[in-house]
Formats: sequence, structure tokens, C-alpha cells
Amino acid sequence: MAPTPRQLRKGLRAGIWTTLALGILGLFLSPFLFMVFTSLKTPEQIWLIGAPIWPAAPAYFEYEGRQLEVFTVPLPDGTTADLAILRKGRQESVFVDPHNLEAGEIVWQGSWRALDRPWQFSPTWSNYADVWRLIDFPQILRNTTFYAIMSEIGVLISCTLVAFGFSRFRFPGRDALFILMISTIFLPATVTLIPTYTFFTKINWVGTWLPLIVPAFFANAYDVFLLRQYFMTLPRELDESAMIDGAGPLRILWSVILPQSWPAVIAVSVFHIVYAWNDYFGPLIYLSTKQDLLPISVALSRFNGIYGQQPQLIQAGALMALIIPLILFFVAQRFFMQGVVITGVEK
Amino acid sequence: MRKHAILRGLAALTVLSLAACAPAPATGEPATQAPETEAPPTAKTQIRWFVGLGTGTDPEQQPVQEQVVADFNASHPNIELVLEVVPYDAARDALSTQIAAGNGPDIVGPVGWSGSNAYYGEWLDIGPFIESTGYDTTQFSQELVSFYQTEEGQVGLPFAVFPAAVFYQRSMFDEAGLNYPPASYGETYVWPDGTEAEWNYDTLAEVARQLTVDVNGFNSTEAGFDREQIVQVGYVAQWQHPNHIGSFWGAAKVYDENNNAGIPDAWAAAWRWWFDGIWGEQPFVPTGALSGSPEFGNDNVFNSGKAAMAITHMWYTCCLADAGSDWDLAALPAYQGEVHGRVDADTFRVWKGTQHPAEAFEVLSYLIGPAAEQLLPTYGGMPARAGEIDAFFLVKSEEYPFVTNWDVMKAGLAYPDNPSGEGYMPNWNEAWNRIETFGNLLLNDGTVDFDAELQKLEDELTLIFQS
Amino acid sequence: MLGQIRRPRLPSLDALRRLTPLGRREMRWGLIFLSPWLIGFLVFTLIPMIATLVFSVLDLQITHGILNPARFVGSENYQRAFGDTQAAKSLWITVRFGLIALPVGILLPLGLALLMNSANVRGKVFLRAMFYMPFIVPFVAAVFLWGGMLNPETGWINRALVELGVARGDLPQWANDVNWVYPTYVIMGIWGIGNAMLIMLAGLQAVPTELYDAAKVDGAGPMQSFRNVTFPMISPVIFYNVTLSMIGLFQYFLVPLVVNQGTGRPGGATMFYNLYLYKTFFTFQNMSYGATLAWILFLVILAVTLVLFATARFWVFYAGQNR
Repeated sequence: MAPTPRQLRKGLRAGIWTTLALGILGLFLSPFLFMVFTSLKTPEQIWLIGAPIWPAAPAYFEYEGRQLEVFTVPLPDGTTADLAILRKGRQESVFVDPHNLEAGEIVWQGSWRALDRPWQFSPTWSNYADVWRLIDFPQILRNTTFYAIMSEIGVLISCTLVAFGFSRFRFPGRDALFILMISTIFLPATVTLIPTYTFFTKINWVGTWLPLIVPAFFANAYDVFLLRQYFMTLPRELDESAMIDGAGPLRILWSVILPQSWPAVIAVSVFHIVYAWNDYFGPLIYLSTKQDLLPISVALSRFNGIYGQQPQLIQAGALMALIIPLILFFVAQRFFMQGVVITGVEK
Repeated sequence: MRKHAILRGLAALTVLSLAACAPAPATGEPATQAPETEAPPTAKTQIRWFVGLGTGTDPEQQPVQEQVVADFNASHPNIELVLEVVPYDAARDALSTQIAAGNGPDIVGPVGWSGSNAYYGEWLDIGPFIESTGYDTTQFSQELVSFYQTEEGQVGLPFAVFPAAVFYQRSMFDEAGLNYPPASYGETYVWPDGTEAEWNYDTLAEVARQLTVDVNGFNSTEAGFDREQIVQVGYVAQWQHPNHIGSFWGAAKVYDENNNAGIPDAWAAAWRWWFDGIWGEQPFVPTGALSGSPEFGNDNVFNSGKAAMAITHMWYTCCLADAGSDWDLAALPAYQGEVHGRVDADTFRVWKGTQHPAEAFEVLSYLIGPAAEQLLPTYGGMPARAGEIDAFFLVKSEEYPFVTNWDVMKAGLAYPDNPSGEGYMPNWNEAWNRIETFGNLLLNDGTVDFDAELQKLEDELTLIFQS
Repeated sequence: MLGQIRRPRLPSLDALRRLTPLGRREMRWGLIFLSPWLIGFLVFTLIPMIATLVFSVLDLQITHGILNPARFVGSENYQRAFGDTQAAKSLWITVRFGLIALPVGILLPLGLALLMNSANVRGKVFLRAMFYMPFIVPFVAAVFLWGGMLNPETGWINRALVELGVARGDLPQWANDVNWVYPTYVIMGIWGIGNAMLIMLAGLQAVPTELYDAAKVDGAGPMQSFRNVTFPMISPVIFYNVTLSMIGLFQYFLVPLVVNQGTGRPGGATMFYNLYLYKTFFTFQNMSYGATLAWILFLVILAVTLVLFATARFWVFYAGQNR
């Protein structure tokens, strides 16, 4: 059946908007291309002047025990040939023809730096294997997952409870406490780091995951704030009808509030996992003695040391590091089902 | 239905976490903490070795260091040596945090003068332990030993010395038709047409100009040179702080008895030369933006194969794996007729607040003694013991068979900077930082008024020294 | 709700005595639910905060170690801070940057969230994840990445500009140029808007569709339905983003630390307040003065937050309010 005009218009609108979204996405993600390309290059390819942005290997020709670089040289007769440079010079250089060695040495006038090279697409997939091996990726992954999930559980439990307390109960001093909680994030963490670290040193928690995971079970201002705001968008009618039915506060939280709040709860979960996944300074300070407990973010920064920079390894590692949170995100998003939220009270 | 969804979600999370817990040693770690602390009172003393203030953070260096730790632990049943490696960028913050909390490591190293001076006053005087254990300091040259004698006492022992030299790329000189820089001290530089010139910074600049090339092959002395498209530079002050740049022209103190700042004339001249080399009519030093770009190695310019010459130290052999197989070493240039070199020296230090100074000293003597054989090559450090130097260079020649001139490195030992460019200044951290800011300014902004900024530097340093 | 009180009143004994049994019960339950945070606050937060307050009246260097007695100096540090021109300049730099970055950080995610919520866009599941993806990239990699993209000499962006015909001498010098360094940071920040977008999206998802239906029945067009339905319903979420972005911007320091090596260049334009604080604390090892600067920042942020909360009643609508 032929599509109706209305369907056509709808489809056209969908097409235009989707294209717009894809366009914006393309622009937005273009640095990723840089990441991907860099992760597939060797350091030499990154530094070579005139190298194309895609991973390309320059050509070499072995001649008399030396590796000669190959360039695309314009010949006097108008054609070009790929020749190997034997001796570089400012005004003239000497080449040999890899395909025709009998022709001997070819002297060419001009600046070799202005010449193009024949590039070959050459992605270095082994970079990923190198990162995997060099930082013991499975172990690191286990560490990071452990940290993310344990702290995630703590955050979910504690922050929903606290946010519920701030949003559904009225008592004197509640708002003062709320401002107090928010104000705990005003003080830059740099400054409270040392007293906190000293405290953990005294109770012998340094060198374990405890300083990073245990505080997660005591709520944090960001997630409580978000959940509290969200809970406050939910009308009270359902609460009240449940209360009339004799439900206690815990039951109201479980049966009334939470079912309506899963977009926010899932959002909080995802954010926290991503935050824990990339948390750098906390694990660095508390786990510096324990090489085998390090998470990805710290392990990755090893490649960025001032000595021996390996940008291709950092990018490869970063790409590998983001796969799991990404998959998690894809899966979690299905719970962000659009649209129909039942808020109507059955009258 | 949504409730079930949440339940399913939570169940999934719990399952995942249990799965993560089950086989992983990750959760095993906290558990195995307990047995160690419950061990009988004759347990080993734990000594923490903190690496990160200097070299030692490279992935290739880890297996060597770990092997040293394993060997030590096997041969010293009463001590447990634990290695702590923190990436260089974060090492100072991590160490500061630990020291402030009273939880500092026992041994820190390898660390040079700048790292040590950042924590001036925090190092243990190991003199008493040298005496009580009868440690033989005559195995080192007394000059080097006295290097580490400060008002606080004997705060270190020589371990690795890093003289400096000119690193250069032979192929770049060949391509330009130039002769290589002089291979030994006292030689002159010979131009292609046969004229000789003293090997000083002016000559170096002229040579470097010929070796600074744009994408079309013009060097910076030629018309048509495009400074926006430089593909090769003649000279780079590889990883040098302005104090280093200045000290290579003449070692001096920047403060007087009254803590007034005074920039030595040699340093001012060095900085002016350098600034001009970056922004002048005929540049030969890369700008900050260029040297920071990925193509130029993210500030590791010589390694990226884009610099014809660099002045840096022996430790740089740690980090020029990608510089190709055609570089060599040459003599440092002179200033006003005299060569002023620099010698970096790294060693291990014991933190003043250590709970186990005797054991820490035992570890220290092991590290600078038996373990030196393994550690020095990986750190790129020349042995402080004169007798071991030749063996060291034998190893280096195997690593870099194409280098013909290690002798000039050995000769560089005769030109230390005394006082050291990284040496004591009042309020060291702030002063070092302020001078670095000055250097960054010169590197990145060609429009600044050099003399005005120099004066400003001096004035602000006086304030810093006197605060 | 909170927007309706001008300042949070501490519970007076009178108010507590006047509680009905039901009120007391509500208070009891409220506090029970708040207990995880209250306990954590007392143990993990309050003590360190008080400790830093104590630092600010002492003369403490990092190398002293905080457990050793130090000299008491009273308000000397605070007096120094008030006379510190660099501190004032840094505060102004932070505010100036915030004025540029905050609108971008709210409007762009909002626009993106609206787009992602639109019925007209297909493949939302895929698109949402893709927009969020850059936020997951570890900071180390992202900084290198943007350093490479925005490098004035060899970066992709400048190379693209050259292709488009911009003369080499006119290329923006990005992080090295006083005029371009804030836009550079803003561009780097835009990459991370996936997070804010998601939060706004959660808010948008919660708006009951029957409200939109009702508005359409009343003849509202898209702009009107946005102004009268969407915006009020998601205003709590926007408020959340504004508050947290503001707090985050006041504490901005990691990016200038890594991208411009914490030197404040070009021309001192990137010496943000929190960066100056970090340097005082860690580089110059002056814990006391650093703590002083931190508490001053605390007061500034507190003041701005209170203003924000006070204005909230004019534009934030909570559906869960009791009438």
C-alpha cells in the first residue's frame, strides 16, 4: 500500500530531525576519530611530518643493509615514480629505484622535504594487545569493576534513603540540614585530602579499598541532591493513598516512590559507575603501595609519564577502558523507556 | 512490572559484584592484609621504597625494579621491602600527602637535587649509620661524597651521576653538508669551507640555523623560510628549566647573603640567546606550541627525531628509544671562552620521619651497592664508583652500538655546576616555580619585553627569598 | 518548599516542643532516613573540615606533618588573603570563566536532551549512548586528545581551518592565546555534556504526557508547551544542574593544571582560584594559607548558593509540593 501523505510527512520530519541529530553527533564525536586513529599508529607514524591523519605506514626499501625511505618523486618526463632516497641533501638528493636497481643512482634536483610519500594503510592493532599485556588488563578490569560495583551498591542504598528523608518528611531543621549537606561540596577536595588521609592512615585503611568504598555507603551530596529533586517532582497523591492504606514509610519508598523514579535511579547508577570507573586521585593516593589493586585510570596514566610517552598506548587503553561502561550504558538505557508514566490516581 | 525491573536490575548488579569478588585476588587483598598484621612479633620490618620523584616510572623499568626488590627480600629475611611507584606527574602530590599525614615512605629515590630540594629538611642524616655499620665511603670519590654533605649532615651517598653532552643527529648534519660538532673538549668547529671557529654558543646557533628547516627545505637563514611550517629544528634545550639553561653558561647562586635576588649575567645572556633563538629573525629553537605538539613528541623533541641537537644528560638515554639509530654525542659549547657544564646526580634518600632508620639504611646500601648493577643501566645513570664506569659504558654500547663517542660523556664529569643549578634557594618551591613561569612565558609568547620580564623576575624573587 | 524560605531556620526549642505526635513521628522517621548521611558526615566530613579550619589559624607547612604542633597565628592568614591581589585576580578569573561556561553548560545539554526526547528522531537508543560516550573517556586520554586536536601548529582543528582558507598567521592559538584560552576550555568541556544531558533527559521523561495532551487540546504550539509545561516540570532538574555547575566552576582547576601546566599562562588568564589554592597547598607546601583560601572559597560559594536557593522560588516548580 502506498504511504499516505500524512505518513510521508511524518517520515520526512523524522528523516530531517534524525539527520540533524546524526550531523551534530558526527561533529561531536570527531575527536573520537582522532583517538581511534592515534591508537592505531606507531610513535613514528605520529611524529612523521606530512603523515596523513589515518594510520599510515611510510614505505621503506632495504638497500645494502640500510632502510631507505621511499618518496614519490616527480621525474623530468612528467611522470612520478616511487624512489628510495640514498643520500639526502638540501638542494639535490640521490635516489635509487627499487624496481630498477640496475639504473644506478638517480640524482634529483629539489628539496626532498616537499615530496610526498606513498602511504599504505597500516593500522597497528597490536597496540591493543600491548596495552592488554603491559598493564595486565584483566586484573585491572577486575579491580575497576570491583570498585565500581561495590561503591555503586553503597551509593544506591544510602542515597535513596537519604533523598527520601529530605523530600518526603517535614520537620524543623530539615532545610538547614539540606543546605549543610550541599555545602559539604563547597570545600575543594584538595584541602580535606590530607586530614582525611591521616585519619585513614591511623585506622590502617590505607593500602586497601576501604577508604574509597566505605564512604559510599554514607551517601554523597550529588546523588542525594539529584534524587531529592526528582522525588520532589512526584505528586504526593499516591503517597497519601498508600498511607491511608496503612503503609509505613519504608513501604511507601519501595512501592510508591521507587517504581516512579527509575529514570533517576538508573541515571544515578550510571553516573556513579562512570565516576568510579575513572576515579583517579582517590585510588592513586590510597592504593599507591598496592600495584595489583590499581584501577584503570591510574594504570593508564603510567603511559603518560614524563619519560617515554606513548600516546598510542594511552588512546588504545582509553578506548578499551570505555567499552564496559558503554555496554552498561546501552543496557541501562532500555530502562529509560520514553513517555508513559502512570501518575494518574485511579479516581 | 517496573518493580520487577528494578529487582532484576539489582539482582544483576549483585550477581556481577559477586562474580567480580569470587575469583579475583582483588578482594583477596584486603583479606590477606589481616594475616600479615597478625604475624608473630618477630615479623619483618616493612620498608617502603617510593619511586616517582625522578626516573623509575617507565613501564620498561618496572620489571628491573621489581626484580631488585625480590632479590633483596630473598637475601634479607628480616626486612620486607615494598615498592611504591607513582607516576611522575602525581608523585609530588602523593608524597606530600603521605608526609603531611605522618605516613611518609622510608626510602625515596632515585631522586635528584630538584626533587630533594622540594622537600628540603626532610632527609635523614645517615652519617651515624655510616659510622655504626662501618660503611666504606672511600669507594666513591670524596668530591662526590661531599656533594651530599649539607648543614643537615650527610644526607645521601653517591649513586648515579649524569654528566651532560650535546646529543646530535648525524644524518641531519650529513643532509645539510655540515661537519659534526667537536667530539672532544678543546676542539674547534670546522665549517664546510674549512674555516675554524671556537665551539661556543654563537657557533652552535649558526650551525643550528642551518639545521632548522621548513617543509620546503629552506633553512632559517634563507629567504623564503616559513617559520609557521618548521619540520626540523636545529637545537632544543631538552627538558631544561631556566636554571639549567643558565647554569650551562655559568654556575652561580641567584641570591646573596641578604636574600636579595640577583640574576647572574651569564644566565641573563643565556636566556636572551634562547629567547632570540625561538622568536628572532632566524629561529633555531622550537616554540612552546611546536615542541608540545604530538608531532614533536609532546615536549620530548629530540626523541621525536625532529631536533638536530639537544643538550641534556646521560639519563636521557632512558627516553630516546625513538630517536633513530644515527645519533651521537659531542662536546658542550663554551661561553666566554670557558665550558660550563652540569652534572646531575641522583641517589636514594631516607625520610627523616622513618620508624626504622637502621633497616632503611640497610636497604639504601643495598640499592647503591649490589643492586646498582641492575638499576643503573635502566636509569641511564653512570656509576659513581670510578671503577665501574667502563663496565657501564660497555653495556651502553651494546644498547646503542652506533654511538661512537661515549668518551665525551665521561669527560663531562669534569664540568660540574658548582653551585648546582638545582641547588638550594630560600623558599625553594616558590622560587623554582616562579623561574619556571618565566621560562614558560619566553617559550610561548614572543611579544614580551625581555628586559622588563627579567626585571620583574628579579623583583619577585627577592620577595620570595625574603618571605 | 525550600524556595519559599529565605534562610533555613535552625530548629528552635519552641518549634520542637510544638510538634504534634504526628510531627514528632515524621521527624523521627525523617532522621532515620537521613542517618546514613548524618553518620557519614560526622565521621568522614566534619572532622576533616574542622581540621582544615584549624590549619587556617596555624602556620603549617606540609613538611611539618599535621600531627605535630604548629604555631598559632590567629587571623594572620586571613589578613594575608584579603590583601592578596593574586587571590582576588584568580577569583575574578574564575567568575569570568563561569559566566561563559555556565550558560553553555546548561543550554547545550538542554537542547540536546530535547532533541533526544523528540518523537521525530529515530535511533534514540543509539544516539543517546553515543552522546554520552565522551563523558566516559578517562581524563588522561581526553586531555591528550584535546591537546592534539587544538594544538596551534599541528592540531586537526587548525589544519582544517587552513584547508578552509584561513591564513596561517591568523590561526587561533587556542590554549596559548589569552583571547582563545577560555573558548578552548569551553570546547573541551562541551565534550562532557553527555552527563548533564542525561539528567535533563530523565527529567523530561518524567513529564506526564497527559499534560502535553492537555496543552495541545488548549491549542498550545511547541514554544508555548515548552514554556508552560516542559520548563516548569523540569525546573527542579535544571536547578540541580545550575547549582552543581556553579559549584563545579568555582572549583575549576584540573583542566588548567593539565593543559597549561598549572602556570596560569597565557598572561595569567588561567590561574583560577582553585588552581592557585592547589599550588599554594601542594607546590608551595603551605597548608595553612591553602586552607585559608579554601575557607574563603567556601564562604563565597555558600553565599552564591543561598542566593540561588532564594531565587529558586521564582522559577522552580516542585510538583510534589503540598498546596
